[in-house]
Amino acid sequence: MPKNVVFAVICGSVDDGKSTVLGRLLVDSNSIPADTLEQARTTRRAGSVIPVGEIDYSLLTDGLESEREQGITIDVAYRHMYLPSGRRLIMSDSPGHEQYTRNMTVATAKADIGLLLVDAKRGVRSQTFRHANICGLMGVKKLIVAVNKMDSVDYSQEIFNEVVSGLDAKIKSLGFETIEYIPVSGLIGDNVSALSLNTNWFTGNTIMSALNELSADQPIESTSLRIPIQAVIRTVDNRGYAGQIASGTLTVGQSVQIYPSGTQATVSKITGAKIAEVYVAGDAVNVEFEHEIDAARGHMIAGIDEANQAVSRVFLTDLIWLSDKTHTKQQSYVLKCGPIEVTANVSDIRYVNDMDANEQIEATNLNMNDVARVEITLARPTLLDPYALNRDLGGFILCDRLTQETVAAGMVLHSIQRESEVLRHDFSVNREQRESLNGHKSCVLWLTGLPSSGKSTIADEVEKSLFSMGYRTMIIDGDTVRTGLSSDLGFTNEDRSENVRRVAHLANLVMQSGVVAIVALVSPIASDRDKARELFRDADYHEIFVDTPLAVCESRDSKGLYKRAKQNLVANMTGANHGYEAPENPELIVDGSSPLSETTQRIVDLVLARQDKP
Amino acid sequence: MGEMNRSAFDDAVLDELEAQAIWAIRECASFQNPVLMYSVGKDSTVLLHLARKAFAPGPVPFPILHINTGWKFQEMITFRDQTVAQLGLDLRVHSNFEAMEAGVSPFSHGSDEYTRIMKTVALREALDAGGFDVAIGGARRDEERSRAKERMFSLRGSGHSWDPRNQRPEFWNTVNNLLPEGSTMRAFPISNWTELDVWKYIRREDLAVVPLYFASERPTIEVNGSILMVDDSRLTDEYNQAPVMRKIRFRTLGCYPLTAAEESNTNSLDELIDELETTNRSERAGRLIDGEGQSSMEAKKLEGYF
Repeated sequence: MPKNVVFAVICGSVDDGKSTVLGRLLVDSNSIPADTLEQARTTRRAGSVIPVGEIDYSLLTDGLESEREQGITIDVAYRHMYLPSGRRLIMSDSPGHEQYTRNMTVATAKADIGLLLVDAKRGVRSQTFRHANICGLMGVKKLIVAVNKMDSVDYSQEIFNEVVSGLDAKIKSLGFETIEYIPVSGLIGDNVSALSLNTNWFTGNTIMSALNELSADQPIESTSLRIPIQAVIRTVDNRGYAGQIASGTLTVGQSVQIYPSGTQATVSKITGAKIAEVYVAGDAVNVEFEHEIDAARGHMIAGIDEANQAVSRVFLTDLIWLSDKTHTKQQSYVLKCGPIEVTANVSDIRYVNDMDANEQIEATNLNMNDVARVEITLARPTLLDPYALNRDLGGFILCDRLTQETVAAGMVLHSIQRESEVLRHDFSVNREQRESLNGHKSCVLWLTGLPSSGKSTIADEVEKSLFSMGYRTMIIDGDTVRTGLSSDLGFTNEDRSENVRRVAHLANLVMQSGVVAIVALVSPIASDRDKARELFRDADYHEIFVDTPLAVCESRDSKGLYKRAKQNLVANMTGANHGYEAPENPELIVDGSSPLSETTQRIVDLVLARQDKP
Repeated sequence: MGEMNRSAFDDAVLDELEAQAIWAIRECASFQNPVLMYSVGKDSTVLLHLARKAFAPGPVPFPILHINTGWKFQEMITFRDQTVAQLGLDLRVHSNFEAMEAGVSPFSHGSDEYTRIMKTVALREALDAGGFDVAIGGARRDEERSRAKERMFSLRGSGHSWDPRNQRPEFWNTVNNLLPEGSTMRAFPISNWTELDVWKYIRREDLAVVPLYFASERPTIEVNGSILMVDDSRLTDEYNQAPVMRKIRFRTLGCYPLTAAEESNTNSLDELIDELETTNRSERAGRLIDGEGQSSMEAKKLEGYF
């Protein structure tokens, strides 16, 4: 991908002088409008020691009112800079405080170049090292370390060398291709964009010339064709697949393969933002094929046989936890990588990286700002590349199913092949394989109890809870069945038995499909329920007796049945004048008048326990 | 330091900015019900062109929305209608009619309150009425300081409010397009463009813009040191002044009583781009609405302003 719009991140511990250095870079590159500059001469924030009339550089990069009030940076700001070469630099200004680490990772995600500030007087601080670490982790290849506030240490070469050697020992193993150290004073302007006589012992780059040089380096990248399909574009006579080329090249007549289907196709037409013979990485294209193919958003156009290694269901990855909601074991997520979307489980936490102690710690949970190495298992094989090869196809986010929030960012290391995951095409698909695709075992939860005892409400809560953990679920509700599958049945004993029989077989089908079936049905007759139970293995069937006191059911009477029964308007109504035969040996008894969350958890626990049984 | 050479990579820079914007617009199509905000100005013109390119050879698969305050320049409305007819677009126009009938004007309510009622409230109403879950806009990070803090895809809570202290993190080319109940998304595909990029792109792609961007003899009055164009008699009635012909142009276009003109002879794109490269004044200086309070754009955005 040719890069003439280059991304960089400026980081470092709070109070190390980021805003001032950045402000000066912007002014020196003529990137700040004259009237804005004038404001920075006249406006002052509390505690400022800079005389009115001089430029307060730090004011140029402040954004939010709350930030100005507190004098700190909370979120990332993006600043344009015209480099001397004519290239464009977009500098993300990242927050220094530790509680805003998550915003720091956002600032780093796209950056090619890192500009890390260290205070010459205070030296390397834990946040300095943490930021260097995050830069390395997020794939920043070129690091400029500005040892700032040199004016406060009398431009001492000795102190500069001390800071450099101390930091270099700690960060040289973090994966940077180049690290440049520059003695700087943001306040005075030394070596920001012009070499300073104050540091006549220093002959290297200024920050500006280092940025200018490093931005001209074009990244080496994968030549394998990858176009994640963003949208399908339909015209009267054709269908096109629109996306941005992530790597490789594309030309009319080229043969490609579509993933996940594996279909091969020949490119017949390319509509690009501009007209070209060969389209390259970075180009936005719309691709048409000689023959109709079956592809959709989230699928990938790739070179033939160029993607097989990258298709994987289990992979090792680095993960940064961004949410204040802790990750616990059973939780499952939606993984998104560009337009790709797939259910994902964190199947193993290898370790959490304690950056301050430089230690790998065993962990079962992930908390906000944790950086961890984990194994992730996807619901289906998916084409992802190693992050080192391609950030856009190896970087992903995890989203919470209920809150929809982005809870983690991940960087793929490599796939893990397991023999058991190889699909055996000579066998027809069975329940086990479906379960393996879903990532969990299925079973039946059969809720029986009086009308208005709370079966449907409980079923709903149980489903919500399971769903948020990534379980595939289906509620079979008595009332719903009555409107369709059993709409021909009445409420005589015979009809009731037949209704239970149908529901039992339906639950079996749902379970065989690998989905957890949640039945909410009065099913008052013990012998009917026993027949239903016979369809299943013991481990698969859970009879749950919703044992709510009759008085509570009557007071709830959500459908008005008890009231009408008392007025003899409803014949054969269970509970009032028709015997409900309580189960003798249910797997679980719950009380519909108990707190719903406790009841839900007890039922969910049955499903979780089921996972460990054959 | 080497010789400043801003134009060496102009074309390549525009290509990259264009591809990124097209990528973002295509992502918007993954939402249920997108809408493209069209304010008729230069940024909207670029945005609309990019949307057409993003889905070519097919049509733009979503409607475009214009919030009409009733105080837009007449030439903007004419240009809008020509554009829509020529390109065959699905245009929705929304105004806060209730407020209009109540006589809310820039004169009666002051620019802040007027903007809140006629733009912010009208926009919220229009988005709610249309059930739009993503609104695509032409805001740029170089425009104003709170904009520099905005994500390309910016989540808005209920009431379209912006919580700048708790923005959804944004990584690589991956958009979290899942919306919590009651939330919507604002998308800014040309976030990383500068004003100069916009004009250079308009020149390169040969796009038509509202003629008000170029100098011409126009009837004007002067109010508090700002030159305002007399678009209709409501302005002269208010200030009780006779119009004076001046050769003026506009750098940004908004509601005419709130948009200051500048005296200028610039009447071609080349001259306009030259002028921007040499004068180096910030773009929104001509917008009378931004100035009230140090950060009034941020305050407006918290309430759902575009």
